[in-house]
Amino acid sequence: MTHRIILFFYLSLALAWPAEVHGPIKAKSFRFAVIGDSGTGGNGAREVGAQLAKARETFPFDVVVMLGDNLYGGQKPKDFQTKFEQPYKTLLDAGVKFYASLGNHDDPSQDSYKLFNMNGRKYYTFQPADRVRFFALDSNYMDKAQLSWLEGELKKTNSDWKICFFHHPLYSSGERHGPSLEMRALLEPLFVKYGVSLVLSGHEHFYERIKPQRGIYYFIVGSSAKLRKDGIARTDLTVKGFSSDLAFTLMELVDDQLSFQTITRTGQAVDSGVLVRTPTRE
Amino acid sequence: MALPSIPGVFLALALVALSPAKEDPGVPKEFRVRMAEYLKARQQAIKDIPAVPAKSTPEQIHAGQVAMFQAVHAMRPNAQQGSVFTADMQEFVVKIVQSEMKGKDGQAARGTTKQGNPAMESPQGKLSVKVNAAYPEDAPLSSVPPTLLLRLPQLPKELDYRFVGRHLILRDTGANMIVDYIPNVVP
Repeated sequence: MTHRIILFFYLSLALAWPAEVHGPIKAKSFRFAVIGDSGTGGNGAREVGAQLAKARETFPFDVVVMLGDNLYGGQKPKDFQTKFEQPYKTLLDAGVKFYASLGNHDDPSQDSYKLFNMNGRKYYTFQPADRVRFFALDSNYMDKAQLSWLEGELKKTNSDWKICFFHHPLYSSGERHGPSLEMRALLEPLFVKYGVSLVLSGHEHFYERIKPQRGIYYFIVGSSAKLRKDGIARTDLTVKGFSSDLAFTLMELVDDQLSFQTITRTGQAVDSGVLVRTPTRE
Repeated sequence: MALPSIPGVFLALALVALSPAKEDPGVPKEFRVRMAEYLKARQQAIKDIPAVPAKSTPEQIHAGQVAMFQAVHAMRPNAQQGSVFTADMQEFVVKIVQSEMKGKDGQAARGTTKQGNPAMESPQGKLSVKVNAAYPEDAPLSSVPPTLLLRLPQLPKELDYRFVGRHLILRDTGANMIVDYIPNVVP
């Protein structure tokens, strides 16, 4: 009887105790972190920055992608410091590279800021590892030139993992903004045609993992400094939604598998799993 | 008459977007002339300003933007509303915007213009729009509906379209300056 009580006690504890960051599945995999709507410079942003640095001790990564709204409000030199360089100082000092996309609160001149690695381009692509290519898009200004560029780049890459990131989500259960349907009409056919596997967006101040759409995984990570509590409407789209605290996401690519974990500013894992890449070229 | 399905509309939109760029014959010639004149004068005005490197510090970005604004602003002290957006161009644009944004079908596009629109999201609240004035540094930039961008004349990288309130502005991207605007274009 005593044993049963002790067992029950430990089981209860295990269930109640929040999961924490877990290490990589494979030592030599490609790993990266995702933050969105991170540029407030407030306490929350600094806590997320500190937690991200702590997570890196368990889950090493050298790349962070930024999903826009990198700097809210003023964009003077001091704002770059207080809203980006200070919250992420530990990671920057460790040589972690940040790759930004532009949100609706970002001055497009951020594209020349060296620590955002945009190299003067509002949309760009980079290949941080074999078989992995990212495409950063400017969803504030999706003109013909950008669409032609995207199609050209998608067509010529032979990377297995094609990952697009940009600010406005194509799918969202957000009560405030919701999905960008016009953008979806333009981008989704390209994503499907050229086998994009993963799409990351912000804008909505919460975390949402969307049911795969036409073979593509969509994540919203828009709560790395701002939060819209209870901002997620009940829809059939959501696999997992979280809007109770600030968060970021860690990702690892191992062959055709994507392992992910979403971590709050206090270090709790609120979503995690492994997804399999499904080639969607039509 | 059968209405086109939503996927059909999306497909048509995607096909339009991916077709090769063609100069729209409907774009008023005078607008193209004025825009070319603006760009030529601008090039002359900024010729001594060093380009902001692609990997700059925030100080370099800020200094470059200030220098460029001062130069471009000074080159056209008498510019007025309508100096680039000529009357026939305004009419041309208004027709396109109205057809994109009117009624229930235009709801998504109207919503997009509100995102980042300084009249809705800026801490300063309503902003006045003045030709040749600096776009307020702390104010966000509106998103522009992609469906609209596909129909408006394509601009060179030195210029873009944005919304402030219901006005469509023509912005100098390097100088962050309002070159011209069309008032109350959003229905």
